[in-house]
Amino acid sequence: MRLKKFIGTVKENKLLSEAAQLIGVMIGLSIAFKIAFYKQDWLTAIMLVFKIFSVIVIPGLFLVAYLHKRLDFTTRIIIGSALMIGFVSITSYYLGIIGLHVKYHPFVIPSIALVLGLTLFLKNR
Amino acid sequence: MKGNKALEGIFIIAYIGIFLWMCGPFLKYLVIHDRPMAFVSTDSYAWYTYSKGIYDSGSFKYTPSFLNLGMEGFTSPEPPLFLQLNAFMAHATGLPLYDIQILLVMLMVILIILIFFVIVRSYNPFLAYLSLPLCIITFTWPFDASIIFGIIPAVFGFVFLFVSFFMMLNMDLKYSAAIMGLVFSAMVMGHTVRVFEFVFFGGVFIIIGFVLKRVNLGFLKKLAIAGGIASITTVYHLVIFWQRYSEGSSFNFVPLDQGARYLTITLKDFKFGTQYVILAGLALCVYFLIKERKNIKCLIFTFPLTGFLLVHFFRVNKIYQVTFFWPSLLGLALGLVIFFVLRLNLFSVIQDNKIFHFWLSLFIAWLLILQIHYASRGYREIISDTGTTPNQAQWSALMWIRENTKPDDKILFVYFNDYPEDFEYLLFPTERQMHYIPLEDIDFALKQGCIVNHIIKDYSVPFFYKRDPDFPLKIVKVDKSQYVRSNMTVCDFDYVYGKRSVDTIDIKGVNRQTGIFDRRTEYVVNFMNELKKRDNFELVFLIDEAAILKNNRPGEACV
Repeated sequence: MRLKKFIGTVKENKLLSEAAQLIGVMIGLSIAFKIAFYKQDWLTAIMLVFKIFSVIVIPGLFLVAYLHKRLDFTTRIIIGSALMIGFVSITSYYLGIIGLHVKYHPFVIPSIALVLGLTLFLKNR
Repeated sequence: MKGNKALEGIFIIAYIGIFLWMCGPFLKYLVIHDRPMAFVSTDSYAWYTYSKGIYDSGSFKYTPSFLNLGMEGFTSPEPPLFLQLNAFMAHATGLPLYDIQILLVMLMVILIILIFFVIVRSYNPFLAYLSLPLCIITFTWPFDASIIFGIIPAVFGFVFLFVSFFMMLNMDLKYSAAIMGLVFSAMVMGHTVRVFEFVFFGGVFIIIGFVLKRVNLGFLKKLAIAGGIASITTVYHLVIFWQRYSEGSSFNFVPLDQGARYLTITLKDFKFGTQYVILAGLALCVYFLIKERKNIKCLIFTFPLTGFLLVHFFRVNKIYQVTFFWPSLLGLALGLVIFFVLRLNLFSVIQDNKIFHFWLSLFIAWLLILQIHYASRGYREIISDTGTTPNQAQWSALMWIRENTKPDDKILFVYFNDYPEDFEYLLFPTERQMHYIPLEDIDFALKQGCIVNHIIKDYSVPFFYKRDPDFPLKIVKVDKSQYVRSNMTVCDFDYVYGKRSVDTIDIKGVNRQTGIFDRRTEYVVNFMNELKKRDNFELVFLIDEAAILKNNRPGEACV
């Protein structure tokens, strides 16, 4: 009964609903990775998907979060990831040129994208 | 409705799973390897080496010095963005750089398919589902050259070419000019030729959009703003790119109708008669463009038409690379034929049934997998180990040099591999200055029947550019001949590498144990034995594949 209530709450709340979808996609892709690269251990497959999500997919979703009324979750996750790849590459290139070593970029750049995405989201709510 | 959305999510993940599964054989079903996999062309080594330079030094400000004859402070005109992404992802995931490189290209190819999927889906979801099956062909020969032949910056550029398609259809989105600016910047610094292709795709889109009154001046204004943003963000790279371009490098626009198999992909490569369905689909694209002219999304049909006609009639320079993504573009044409048939009154019961479309799409995909995947799986398991992919022994020798020699040590490669063109690239992973005896010189010695005084060549990148320290946007070209050391003999080197056995596998998996390869190896073994007899040299590394001698008194006479 409680579980049903919880699922109902998640479905009604867009943010929770999308978080649930995101977790679903991560689980789905981890399974897909494990099937495709079946000789690799489970932990590596799961960690790889998690790391790709933490530096590309989730920050990408945040970057385009302000478009949530125009674009559905599927479109945002795909286009957001592509835009995040561009954002990461360009920002990383110039941060490197000005002297910040690339080993720090996986912490810095997704954080910039998260802040930028949140700002855009709050501004366009 | 929500149930349908969840089902669609599962459907998309199932397709991603199929695409990854198609990639599995290239990597021998493993993510992490103890040596590079599917480095089938020498270009893979170039991207690996530049990325490794970024990974270690922290930026792409300077080229690794061993590529510039040991000189520091030179800068490279190569497109930087994929290289930077590669180094970034290697740090982020902790995977070896060569593994993340090949994995990234696979994921980018899948991302391109998905981007085009959401573009088509914005017009009609049913059509999008039916367009996906043909994309499976992307992972089969010759289309898979995009993955294994080291054309990686090109694939990176295509990601943004496809995002630009999406943005052109959605220019009414907030901040679309800024997003388009990011996309243009990524295209310019990712792979500049993609900009040229955008002119074609975007040009056709805009002209037809104007004719159908779906594109207005506001659209062009936003494109101009995006171009302005991109020109600011890319100028630092563009100055050096322009320097290289103005020197007449490989950017000559010459029609390409012969050469390697993957350069000349045609409709025939789709097989099983699908090419005729695709042609019918292209005709239907024109029909739908006219029929649906009131809907701006109908402009999606310009993409397969342009993609097909552009390559068919203007197969110049790098434009052939569009064919690697024909399965996505022309998948729309194929899907359109099925979609059109299902719209007939005969199928009125099922034509709006999402689940039926999911199953139909997966059924067609299954048929293609049965025909293609199982027929070519063996080949794809082998190809990751062919071409210029190093075998375990070669890789361990290269790594031994990297880990056991000093950065300024001079290494002579007497005989490493049988690739006459760009074979020096294979030595990049040592991160040392490369000197080698050309294959033709060894063959000359074989004809002479005795050990000869060999010509020793060195490798360096062709472009020696520096940025002006006072004004970095000014590029200074340096004459590299001043750094070249001529008349070097074997005695000048700190280490000498020689190949001892032949175990290269050709594309059919047959060991090449006979002929010239064996005779070259035999000569090199004699050559190394002669050196070892001298006091200067000692044996420091020995495996079946190769031996490495250390010269304890480099510069002194030894032969």
